[in-house]
Amino acid sequence: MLRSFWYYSWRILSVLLLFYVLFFGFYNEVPRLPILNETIRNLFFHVPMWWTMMILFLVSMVSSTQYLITGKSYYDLRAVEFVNTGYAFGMAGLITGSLWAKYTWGAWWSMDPIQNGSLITLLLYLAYAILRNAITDMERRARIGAVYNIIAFFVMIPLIWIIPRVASSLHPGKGGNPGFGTYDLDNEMRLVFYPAVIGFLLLGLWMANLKFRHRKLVEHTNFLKEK
Amino acid sequence: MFKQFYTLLKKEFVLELRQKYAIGGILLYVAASTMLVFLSLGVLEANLWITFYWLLMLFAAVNAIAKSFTNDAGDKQLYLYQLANPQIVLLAKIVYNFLLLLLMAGIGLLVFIILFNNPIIDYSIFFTVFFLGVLSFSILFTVMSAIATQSEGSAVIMPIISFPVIVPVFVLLLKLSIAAVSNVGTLNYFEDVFSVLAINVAILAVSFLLFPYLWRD
Amino acid sequence: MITMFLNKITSSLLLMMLSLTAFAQMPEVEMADKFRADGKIFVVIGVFAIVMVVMFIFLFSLDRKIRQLEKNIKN
Repeated sequence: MLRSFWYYSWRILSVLLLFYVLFFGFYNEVPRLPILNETIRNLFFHVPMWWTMMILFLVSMVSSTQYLITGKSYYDLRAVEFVNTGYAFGMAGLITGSLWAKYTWGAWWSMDPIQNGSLITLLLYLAYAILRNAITDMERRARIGAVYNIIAFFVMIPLIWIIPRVASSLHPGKGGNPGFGTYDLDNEMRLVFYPAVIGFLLLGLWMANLKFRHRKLVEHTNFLKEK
Repeated sequence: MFKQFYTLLKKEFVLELRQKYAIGGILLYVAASTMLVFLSLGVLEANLWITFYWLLMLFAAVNAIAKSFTNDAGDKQLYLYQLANPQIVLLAKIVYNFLLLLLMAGIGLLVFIILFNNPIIDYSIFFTVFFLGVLSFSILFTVMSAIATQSEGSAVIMPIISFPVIVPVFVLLLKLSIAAVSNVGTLNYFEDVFSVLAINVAILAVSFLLFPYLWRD
Repeated sequence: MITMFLNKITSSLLLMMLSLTAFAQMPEVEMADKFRADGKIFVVIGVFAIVMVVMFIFLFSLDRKIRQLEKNIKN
């Protein structure tokens, strides 16, 4: 009974947080900035997509490391399914960002380093999937995949964090633009933004967890069938 | 440990000299691709010069290094590797590839300067970038080659996994090189150089730790 | 709820009138104020909320199914 409580607690927390974000994200007053107008509310949805993706990829990298250390396929399955879920969030982040850019920066795609960096990140992890599929032996697939996963994570860090810092960018806070911090994250936008990040993160973890357990069950039934 | 390293390094050179087609092939690749650019464009202004140079070097490097680990299937080789420390093997291959790419990029540079006008203004910056670039390519692609050769159809997989991985370094290389061919001045020069070095060190460290796992076979 | 809302309307109207005094310095940024003042924002929230409810029902049921399967396997 207690286990059920802990099990459902953070899932229900995620639901509550997201409903909170939904309501107050639209109901609250937001800073009145030219060009952005009401779209500044996208902050509550677009940015958490990326944070969730990065944390899911981080968990995946840690799982890959654990796999290499222990050799248990449990960790490898977790690495794969967390990458898959993180990828979905990344695609959502990319598409929402592009849509937002179309109506504020003027084009679906600009030469913005963060836009480019995030696209390359998605290519990077797509290569992970292709690489895994190209290896036929299961044990090798897991091992080589794990090595690549770890390297890919360490390539993602410069792509998303370092390159945009050294290049000029349209994103707020980089290049010549005043960061969002000077305008809104000082005030009540934070009250919705932080819960949004946490809410979507918990949602992402929930979905990844489900996919992982589902995958374990599939592997288990395959295993039984072979016996 | 040094002895192992030198032996392995020497082995790479010996193998390469025996099968001369590899070096020859790569140099021909560089020459042919440069000729294609020359025939299509004829004249390259500074930024285009830089871009094409590094792009062509990128593709040539991927091809050159792709076969780094492919000739290790023979029994004699396996025996040799079982004696050697896997990280020394990796280091030997990286150094060998570094020297190979130096030669290749150097010749590529000469061809570019001959065919198109030399736009380089600041030689010290350019040669720093040159060395950094060749170093980065050799480290990253050697590691990717180690990964790719484990898969079926490694010729296709090698570019697929190599290109996204090299992008951060590539962007920085272009930025630094453009500083070398224009008078704009070097705003974040040391920051960028440091970033490239940092990425290389990080990838190198991670690869050293992980390589034994690739090497299990 | 409605009184809270009316309060918010009157206070925002007052603020808007106050801001008119600074009209010379601050450019008017058009926002969806009328939309929200009409209460139509609740339509947006409501639609989205329905979508979310459906999604969460789906997630919870999937979760329960997987839990069941795992329990079955354990036994």
